[in-house]
Amino acid sequence: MIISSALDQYKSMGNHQLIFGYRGSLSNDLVSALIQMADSKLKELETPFRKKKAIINILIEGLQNSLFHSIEGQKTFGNGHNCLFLLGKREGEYFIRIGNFIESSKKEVLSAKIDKLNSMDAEQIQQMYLDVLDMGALSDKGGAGLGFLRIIRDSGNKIAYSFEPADDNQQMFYSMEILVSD
Amino acid sequence: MENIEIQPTATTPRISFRPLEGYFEISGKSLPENSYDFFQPLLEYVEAYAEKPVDATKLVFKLQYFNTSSTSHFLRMIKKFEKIHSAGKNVEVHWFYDEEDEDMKEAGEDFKVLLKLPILIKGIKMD
Repeated sequence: MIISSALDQYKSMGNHQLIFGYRGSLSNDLVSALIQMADSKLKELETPFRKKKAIINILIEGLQNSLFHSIEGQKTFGNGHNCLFLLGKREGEYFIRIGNFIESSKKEVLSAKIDKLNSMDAEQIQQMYLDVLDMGALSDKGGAGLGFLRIIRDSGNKIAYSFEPADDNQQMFYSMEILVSD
Repeated sequence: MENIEIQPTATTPRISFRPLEGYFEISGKSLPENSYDFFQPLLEYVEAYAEKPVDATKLVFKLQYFNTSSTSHFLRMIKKFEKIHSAGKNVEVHWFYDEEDEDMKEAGEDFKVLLKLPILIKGIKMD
């Protein structure tokens, strides 16, 4: 049995300034548990309340988005609606990375949506948030279409994203990275 | 109308609706998996209350976290109370936030922009 790799792994996680991460399938209870854990870790790091709250809000929207919209990955990637979630801090900035499998056909709509929001300034984002909130249109999953708006508003930064080819042409691994400046 | 008392869970808020006292409170964390399923029965209940409200009604929020689909339901709910207010009854919304939590304060201010009834926003000490 090789046990030396555990130390390498420990060091490597430290090198990437990872606060904590998760890979596996999600449930809403697990989202809540990850948020609790993030909350206590951020308190431990003496993160200012405002930053901590922004990170928590982004996690709520990002993880629930992944829970509601991911598809089951190919068997080679493990069973179930797997996601990747990382929270870390590098050079004075917190980073949140959330990834999951989606149908390749969703790529264009999703990237157009994020690009559009990324092109807006803070005032426009806030106005759009209020407009969408006031219209009150809800999806069949109870979502209000406010998630990305809240992520951008609370992070004060644009959403970086990527689509990586997965096993076949039917699905891709979609991930987004959001920075919250300390 | 019977009171509604729903205990909080890790993802749903505590609900305390006491129509005879005109007191409606939502507190804690609100990130239900399906916010429509959770809030729709409560909205229908408030709609029934709005047909025969008491003279003074108070809607109280004391929240720590919420997802955006919950906030959309909060707005729908406050709009039902707004109707009672515009029919000439006394209605107040009390939006309490942890005194450190500027984000929750701003969430209350968002509602103030969108609504016409009195919304009192106040920082308090929360556990």
